[in-house]
Amino acid sequence: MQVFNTFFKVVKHYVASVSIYFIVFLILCLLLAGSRTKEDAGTFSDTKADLAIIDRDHSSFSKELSSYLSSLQNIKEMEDDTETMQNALFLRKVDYILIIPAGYEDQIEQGNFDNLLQNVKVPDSFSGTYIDSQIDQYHKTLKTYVKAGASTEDAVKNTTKVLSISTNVNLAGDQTPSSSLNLLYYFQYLVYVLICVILCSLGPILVRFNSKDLTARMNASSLSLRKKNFFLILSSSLFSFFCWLIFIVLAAIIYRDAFFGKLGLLCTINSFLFLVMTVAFTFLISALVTNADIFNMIGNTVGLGMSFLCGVFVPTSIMSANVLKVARVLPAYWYIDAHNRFNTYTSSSEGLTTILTDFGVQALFAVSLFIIGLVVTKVKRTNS
Amino acid sequence: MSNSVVRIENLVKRYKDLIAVDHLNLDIKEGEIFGLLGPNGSGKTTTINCLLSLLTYDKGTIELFGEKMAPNRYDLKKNIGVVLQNVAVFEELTVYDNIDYFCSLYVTDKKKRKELVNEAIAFVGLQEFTKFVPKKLSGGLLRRLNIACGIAHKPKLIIMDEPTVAVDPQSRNNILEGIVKLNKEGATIIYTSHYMEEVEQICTRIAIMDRGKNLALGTTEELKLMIKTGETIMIEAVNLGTETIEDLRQIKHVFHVSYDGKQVKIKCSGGKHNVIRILSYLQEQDISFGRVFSELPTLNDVFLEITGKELRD
Repeated sequence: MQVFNTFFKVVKHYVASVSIYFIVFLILCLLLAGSRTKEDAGTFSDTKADLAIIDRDHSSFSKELSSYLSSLQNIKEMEDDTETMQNALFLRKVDYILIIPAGYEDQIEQGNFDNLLQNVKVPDSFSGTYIDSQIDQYHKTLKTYVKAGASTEDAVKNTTKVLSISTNVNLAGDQTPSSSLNLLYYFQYLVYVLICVILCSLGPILVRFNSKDLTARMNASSLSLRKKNFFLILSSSLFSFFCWLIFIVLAAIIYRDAFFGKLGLLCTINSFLFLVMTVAFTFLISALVTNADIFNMIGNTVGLGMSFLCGVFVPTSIMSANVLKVARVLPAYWYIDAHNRFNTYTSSSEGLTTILTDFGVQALFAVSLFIIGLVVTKVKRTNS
Repeated sequence: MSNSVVRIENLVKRYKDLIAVDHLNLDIKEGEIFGLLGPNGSGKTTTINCLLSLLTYDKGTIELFGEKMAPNRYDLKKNIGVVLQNVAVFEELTVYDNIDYFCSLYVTDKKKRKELVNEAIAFVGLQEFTKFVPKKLSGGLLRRLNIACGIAHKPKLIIMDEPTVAVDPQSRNNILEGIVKLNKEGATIIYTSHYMEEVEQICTRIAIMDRGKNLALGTTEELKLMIKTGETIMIEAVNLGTETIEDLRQIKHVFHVSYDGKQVKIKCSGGKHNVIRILSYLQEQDISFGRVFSELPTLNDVFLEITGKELRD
């Protein structure tokens, strides 16, 4: 029990540095989750360019065209003045200036669809090409109706009607309310944060207990290795549990709508299993490494490496098969694999078996790492 | 002084091609202050580590209190106190907490432990520093803390591996006095050092080690009797001729003469009145001389004769 008490006395000594790590990584986690929420809210919308229309025809046809384009682009008011137009384009107040010349309606009624309009645009710009294609599409549809024998008035009406039909766009696998998405992002980045926080804060404390001279003194004492390891693991687990609990409580407060439900429970279980694995990994490394500074290096390397390879920062869906093969030997891969299935499971109850398998693999990682750590300490006892 | 506390038989420890301990035999009796004397790298610390089962060894047996020692013999370890060469304390804990922690590895009863910790603090004279953290202590005080951590549980056998390295003379004397006191209170002590004066001062028996071998074993007097040198006489004199040096060599009991132009060093193999005999010769030859020194053999002389090199090399 004295090892347990002493562990927390040593923790008290490191409380300032541990707090700094904790706060920095907590802020990082919240920022990462926040930034992803803004970018990828799970909705789709058309891109709109800034468009100015100079209507010199003032006909019903030109108004129909203006109306059609205004439904697709951001319309900007502009005087019919060359200098004003050039300035607006130069200063990028608009991306595209469309000039509908006088006689536009007459040209269409005569069946002439070539060179109907004039424009001023940013050369080789995406928005210029985009608007050109929309105007082209409008005139081609109109021409089709006219050639099919419809009156020009009907052709204009039908063209407007047909082009107003839009396609619903659904992002694959992402039909989640934004509150749930926020929670998911938070727990996604928690992998990186947990590795860094636990390795960088727990590591130096364990290194103290496993330093060469102190270990020699403890190994020469009547404290059994089993007891020493038991209390070290117990105190490390308790310390890490409190760190993890703070992250969970924060998630419950910030994302309370989504947290108190099936999704929150799954995320909590997943992160808990990952925490146990992280503690086991830290225990193992502390048995091998005698320098606390190396722990920070390992913490950052493992944290970033695992996060990039296993889909924390980059979705696994866009990763190559070879990278994923490598990632499978890392516990974070199984965390993310389970994490990516929570959404589907909460909405359709599918994939529970895979999720449970992912949980099991993480637990296996934790047990294996603990066993290796214990073996290493035993071997090192008589080979120091 | 009859029961064996430590018995080492034919101990061999190899590090690849290097033999760190070479067929070592030791029998340390209860109540002894047993000195392991040898230069750095002679195998003292390796022997201690094997003794404590901190190292595996290739051959031999080690028995403590009549029973075979092994890494999991916690019942035997309970009676051992260890003061390691390097200061092994928690930098994050106070002096009191450090001693309390290491004592708790042996004594679980809180009340008893409190008494023992306070006794250890008083023993090493750290009463005024109980709330200090180690980095606030001087080198000497830190060594005392290291000792207190090793002896607080009142062990029957105390192993001290060079506890006075890098300690000032005053603190060193305090530590040596403390070791004698611990021995008088009933502890058997194994004391390793490469400082021959310390070993000579406190140890009841000494083993001289070099290259992992036990070269000589006995009390200080027994060891000195093992060598040829009985007395070393040094005389300040200038302009001594080779004839004079040769004549000095012919004087009774003299077996070695060396001269550096300022001082002549004469080694005699025991006998009485060596100084008078040599000075009479110089007076007879009308040779003027300055100060005269006479030294009885030291452990360094013992080491020099046995190994052919200085202990401090």
